[in-house]
Amino acid sequence: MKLVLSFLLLLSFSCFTVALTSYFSRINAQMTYSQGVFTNLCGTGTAATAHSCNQGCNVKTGSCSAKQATVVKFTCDGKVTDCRNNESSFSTSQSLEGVSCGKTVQLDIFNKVCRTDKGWVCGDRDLQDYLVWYSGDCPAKTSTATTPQVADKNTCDTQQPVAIQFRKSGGSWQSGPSVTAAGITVGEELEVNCFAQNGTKLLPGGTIQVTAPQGKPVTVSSSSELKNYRSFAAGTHSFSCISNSIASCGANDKITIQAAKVENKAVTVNPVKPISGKAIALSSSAPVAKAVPAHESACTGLAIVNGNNSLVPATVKLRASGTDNRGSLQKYRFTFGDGSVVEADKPELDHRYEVSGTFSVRAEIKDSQGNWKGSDACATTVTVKPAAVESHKSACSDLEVTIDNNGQAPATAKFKVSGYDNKGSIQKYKISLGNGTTRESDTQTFEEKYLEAGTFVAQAAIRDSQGNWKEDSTCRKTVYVSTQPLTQQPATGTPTIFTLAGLISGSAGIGIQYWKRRLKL
Amino acid sequence: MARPQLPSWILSVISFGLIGFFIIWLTLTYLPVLIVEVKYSSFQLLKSSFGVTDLRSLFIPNFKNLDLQGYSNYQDYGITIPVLNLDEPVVFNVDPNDEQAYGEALKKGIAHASGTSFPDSSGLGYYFAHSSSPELRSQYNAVFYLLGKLKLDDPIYIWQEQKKFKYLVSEIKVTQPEDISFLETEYDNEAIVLQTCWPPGTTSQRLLVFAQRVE
Repeated sequence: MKLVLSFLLLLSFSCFTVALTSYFSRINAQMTYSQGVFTNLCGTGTAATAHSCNQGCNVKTGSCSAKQATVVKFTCDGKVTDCRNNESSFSTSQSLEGVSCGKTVQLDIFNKVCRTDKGWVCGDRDLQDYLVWYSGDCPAKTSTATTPQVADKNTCDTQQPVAIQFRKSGGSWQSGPSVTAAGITVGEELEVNCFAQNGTKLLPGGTIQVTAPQGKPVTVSSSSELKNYRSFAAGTHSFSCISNSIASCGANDKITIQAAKVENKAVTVNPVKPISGKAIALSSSAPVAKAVPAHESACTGLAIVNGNNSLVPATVKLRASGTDNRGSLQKYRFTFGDGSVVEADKPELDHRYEVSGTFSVRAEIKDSQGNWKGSDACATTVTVKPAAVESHKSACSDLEVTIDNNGQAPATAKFKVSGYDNKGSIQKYKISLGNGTTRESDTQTFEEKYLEAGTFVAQAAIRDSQGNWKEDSTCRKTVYVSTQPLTQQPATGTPTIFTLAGLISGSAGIGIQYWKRRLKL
Repeated sequence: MARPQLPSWILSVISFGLIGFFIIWLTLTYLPVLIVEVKYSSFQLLKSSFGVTDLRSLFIPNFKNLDLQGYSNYQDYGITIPVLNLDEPVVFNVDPNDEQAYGEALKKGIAHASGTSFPDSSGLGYYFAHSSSPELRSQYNAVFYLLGKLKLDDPIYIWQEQKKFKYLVSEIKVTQPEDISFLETEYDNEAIVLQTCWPPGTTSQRLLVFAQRVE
């Protein structure tokens, strides 16, 4: 019996250990040095993709070394993943030795000395290796302490006044219930601090939430400091600061982010990277993008270069055009109206029609950010003349779907059905909307308002000149009507309480058996 | 005065009841994980030792190994991750705020969160699945358990309506469940994020694997 119990106990801990080992091996943030813990390391996070991680930083010795004087040390209060305060001079080696409790230290190795007469001259591509380490929480004050603060409990009263302050990176702090003159435009970096005790300290245990215009509250920082926040929505952003360690303690303030100023001259815009807990050391004097114009792209035209009105089989050359103010167009998609759809890297394409008739042709462009865009300007008609002898051919060739409200329910979808018939005109159009509704019309266009979110398969058909309904796979499209955006990441694991209950019950059961046998009950 | 004692048989019932519950928990939660881990280990062993992905190819002449770089059993709606030997169906447009709705979807495979981007469109597409689940009803209760083994630049393929979209892992991180700040970020490329609960056997945190579209 003892053997069985021991085996079960061993098995349970093995399983849990396997899972935890897997977990901890992935999360370098849990690695420790001395009494502290690493909160960010080269080799994890977005920043790692831009760096070489040249092994100059050693987590075991808590130091970073380089052959030349290119190592810099930053020290910040509290636990953060990106620290840029109290910059040291550049040297060949820096270590975590002698750091007091409650501090974050960031050691960076660059490929050159970044602090010059012109200010900070390095960017993330110059960063070779880094580590960010938090020295650990300071011990709680005891009643034997002799400082006057002993009697002070960490209540919200001792923290007042609590306020949120904003500044553009490199600018001066501004506060107030509604900051409108901070000079922040969309895409620019914003720093937000949750200050306590009249701006002299950060609020203990603070977290920061933001609600963008027409958005929902989102936690953007698990500390009282927020750096590198960028929003691409102009308008009033509401920030909330809440302390996790002090009951009912926090503040709510707003800031207005202005729309981008579009200049007449060409503006070079660097690619926007996801914001995360990266350790890119930019000082307050680092250059900041001036203004990011809103992304605009469009399909502006579709021309028939040659081949129109030719005898079947006809080769027709088409050329699409489009614009994009942030980069190059990636692809072009041509829907030829005879059931063929082709994606191409170039704007000009030949297509051979094997049947005569009149074809609705359209083009779409894929812009630099991956959006497919069509327009009325990118639609035209190709005519192919019949041969002397040609059998009757007809088909439903295309179903074009556009949907408003960003596809979010309730959303109105517009459908345009196209087809061809080489011996006459199409008599009718029909569409099954995927929600149980079927409509028939003499015209090509249909409209349907989807009140509920869901996935709907729309199937269109045409009735040709001989009265036959033609339904083809090219006239079938899936319409996605989406729900509200996600408010919390869904739970996709075994509830933690179930796991705890399992482990505790196993231990308790084995314990009872053990004592029962020992006491010979 | 003698202390009153519980009869021995009551203690036995209680202890074996507790041990029974423990065994049920262990089986439900970690057996699927164990199966996935064993499959993955054998896949790795076959690949590194013999250069094949299927044991049968060692015995059956002309047996074709499945190449998940270019093939999926779910070419209408699926995800393949060759380094994990993962090839599973995707249910698109699932309400991520409705536990019942996504619970049903997760019995069929990997769920795509409604309101996030679809393949071949800009923005971030959000896909999620179980790392463990206390039910033995389907094969999908530990689909994303292996996500933690992915490394930067590992390829991920999404299939939609016979089209294949290739992504490379760009970032791996763990967040709190309520942290959805990454959805507010503007991405300069088509991107996806694969999410599962972490560590396996709990719902305390979320593992996020970000990938950028390359083909």
